[in-house]
Amino acid sequence: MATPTYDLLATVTITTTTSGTTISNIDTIGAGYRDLVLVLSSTDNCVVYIRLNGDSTVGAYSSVNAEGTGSATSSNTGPNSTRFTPTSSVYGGGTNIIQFFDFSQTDKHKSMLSRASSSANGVNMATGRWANTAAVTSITDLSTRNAGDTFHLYGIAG
Amino acid sequence: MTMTLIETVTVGSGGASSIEFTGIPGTGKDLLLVLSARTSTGTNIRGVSMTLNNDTATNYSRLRFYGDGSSASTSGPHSEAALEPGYVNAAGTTANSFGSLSLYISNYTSTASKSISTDSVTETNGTAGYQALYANSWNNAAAVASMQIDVTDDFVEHSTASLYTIS
Repeated sequence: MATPTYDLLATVTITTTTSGTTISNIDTIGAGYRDLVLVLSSTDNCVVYIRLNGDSTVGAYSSVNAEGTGSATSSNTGPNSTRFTPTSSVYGGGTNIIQFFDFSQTDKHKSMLSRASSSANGVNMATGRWANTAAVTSITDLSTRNAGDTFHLYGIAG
Repeated sequence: MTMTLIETVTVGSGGASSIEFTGIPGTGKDLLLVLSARTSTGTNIRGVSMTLNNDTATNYSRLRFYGDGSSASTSGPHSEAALEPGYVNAAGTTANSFGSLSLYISNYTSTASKSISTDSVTETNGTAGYQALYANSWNNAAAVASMQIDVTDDFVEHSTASLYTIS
């Protein structure tokens, strides 16, 4: 019987303003796990632009989301993109949790589920697809991050 | 480095007016609470209330995104004296159905304000099913060392709450 786990694979703490944050070698640090969970805690900007394996191909990413801002609800699609954008608004401070399913499988496109929350700006749930059958080896957040922001990457065994 | 169960509280016969976790170790990076609960009164749903470290000052802020099966709504942000992480089933819902709620606190030992993500569902295969996503924050520099979970009446027998550290 498999042992369920939820293990920390990598952590990044931003110490100075940084444009683009990448967690690499996921094929090594994530060996043996089925899913990945990325937890971003941000004090300033919770918008995340995810790129996998550095793939910037037009149309490689698509998404759909639903959101409440405290004053309005909305739902949008984001097809034919060069990145996965889980949130549709600028979230100031908060947490974004993204799960990547079957990230090492080479026979399927990769799907992602995201929950973003900022008590000042809104909550958002989104799903995304990376139209690529390659195993995920790196995750990049293209946003600019300020000191104190953290990334925690966890592995879930199947 | 793993997800470690700190404690599971199971409500016994007679119910319980609240559930509390104390002595939460500061050894993890994140905290996860999983609540399965039902209340002793009410029709469809009951809101859950929570404080951290017994802090009852107006140090909490929340924003809600909510669906009831026929429409979606949103409200906030509101400054409050307690967290409102979501909803659980009330006594009027289908027998033996319990609401599910998960709450995630990243960097719970940080000296910065804590960002808290929650989602809850009270689906009962009936005409009223509710889902709520909440963004909460706790504006306090202290590490989360205790957690007080409350409802306006009682949690019924077989309600459970499990708290995990993730590190």
